[in-house]
Amino acid sequence: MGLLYLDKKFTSPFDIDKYRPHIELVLKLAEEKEKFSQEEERLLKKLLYKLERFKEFVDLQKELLQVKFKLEGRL
Amino acid sequence: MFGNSLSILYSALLSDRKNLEIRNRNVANVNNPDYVKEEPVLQNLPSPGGVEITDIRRLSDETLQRQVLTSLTYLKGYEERKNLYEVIETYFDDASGSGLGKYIDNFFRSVLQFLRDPTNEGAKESLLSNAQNLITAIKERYQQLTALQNNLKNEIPKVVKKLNTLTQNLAKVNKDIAFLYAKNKTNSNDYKTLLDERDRLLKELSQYVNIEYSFDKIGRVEINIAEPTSTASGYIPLVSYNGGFNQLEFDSNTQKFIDSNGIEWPLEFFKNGKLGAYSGLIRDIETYKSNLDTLATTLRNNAKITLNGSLTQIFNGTSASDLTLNITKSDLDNYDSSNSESDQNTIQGAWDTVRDNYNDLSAKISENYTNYQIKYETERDLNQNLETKYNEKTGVNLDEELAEIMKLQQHYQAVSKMIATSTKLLDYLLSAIR
Repeated sequence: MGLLYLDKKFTSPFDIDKYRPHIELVLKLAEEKEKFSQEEERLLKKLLYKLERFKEFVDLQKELLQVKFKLEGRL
Repeated sequence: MFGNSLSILYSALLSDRKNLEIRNRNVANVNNPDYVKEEPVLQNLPSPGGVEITDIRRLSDETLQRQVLTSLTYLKGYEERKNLYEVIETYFDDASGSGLGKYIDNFFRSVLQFLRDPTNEGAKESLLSNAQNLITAIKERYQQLTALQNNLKNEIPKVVKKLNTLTQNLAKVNKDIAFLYAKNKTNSNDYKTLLDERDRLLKELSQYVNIEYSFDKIGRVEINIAEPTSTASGYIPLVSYNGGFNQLEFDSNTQKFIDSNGIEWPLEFFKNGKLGAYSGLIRDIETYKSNLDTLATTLRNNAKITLNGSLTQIFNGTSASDLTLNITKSDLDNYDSSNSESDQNTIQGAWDTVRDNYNDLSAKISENYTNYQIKYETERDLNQNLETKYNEKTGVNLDEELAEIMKLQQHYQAVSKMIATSTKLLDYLLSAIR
């Protein structure tokens, strides 16, 4: 399914754009699959957690930058 | 005219010298992970002209630094949880044979065997010994969990001590920064060292608790312990800009923290970092111990056979820690085989109930372990990435620094030659005039 590949390569929020097509494909394949092996289940859970965590990262980054720009009078 | 030229060249020489000092300091700290690279801020001088270094810029990236610290807090918390779950899982891992499953199955199997052949002496012995083995295994798991829980409770005062020391050191750094800033605003080598020290201490602090912090204009830091996901509201102020600080004390009896202002903070307040992990794990273990108690009472209430005309519990006790055997060999010797069929049904039902109960506990532990493993691995990779990015921005690149030093040397030599030539020219003119 490409989960192992993503597990090894997709390790940072800075890679989201790079691996977006791959992530979308893997999630589509997962949606179509009825049952997962134990390892697939673990990797899929990990991928979903990563997406959630990286979203949190991007949100925090956005907040920090907003505060920084406001303090510097740039926004 | 010559005076102006010499003044401009002299300012260039001075700037080059200061610049070289900064570059040398950068190179000297190439292997220092806490050192943040510095760069001179140059400014043109008003007429007659020239250049001077007005400030030394510390190439830090606060946004990235915050992300690194947040990630470190998560990482350390998940690492502790994962490591402890690795141990807990071994107590309940049926795949490797160390779980309770085999003891439960062996016990119920031997009861059924006895009920099918109540006169078989071997079956009686097997029932009693398997029942005893099950009691021992449950008690052993309970004791192991209690020991783990006690270890964690003993760790908390050590963490609090560490937190208090870090807090005191950070408050001292704030005071030192204010002092040095007032004394020597620019060109302050020691002041930059203090900022590096401040960042190092913040990083260390982040391993234990989730912190919120802000810097003022001169680099002092204000810190709070903040847990946005905690049900307990508020935040614990740790360090203020003026060098004030808060200290925590842990009361092991009430399981509460008391700060210098007398405010009590429950253990549950802490959610992240090592302290958050310890707090969460203590509560998790409490839940598992209570699950073991439930397992013991389920076993006591359901595992029954008919003795002397009434259904009798095979086990006695109110919890996992005081579970005992309620029947003896003579009870089995006097067993009335006419009850065998109905007792087999009772035992089969009890087996299913106890097994379901245990499977739920084992699955919960296994699921938590997998989740923490996933979170730990994700955070480890993320933290490594962020650290690399942060170090690329703030760390010293030896090639870049050496290239800058070479440029500065050439510039310094050129300016020196220009000064020498101007001096010669001046001498020549002066001698011509004479």
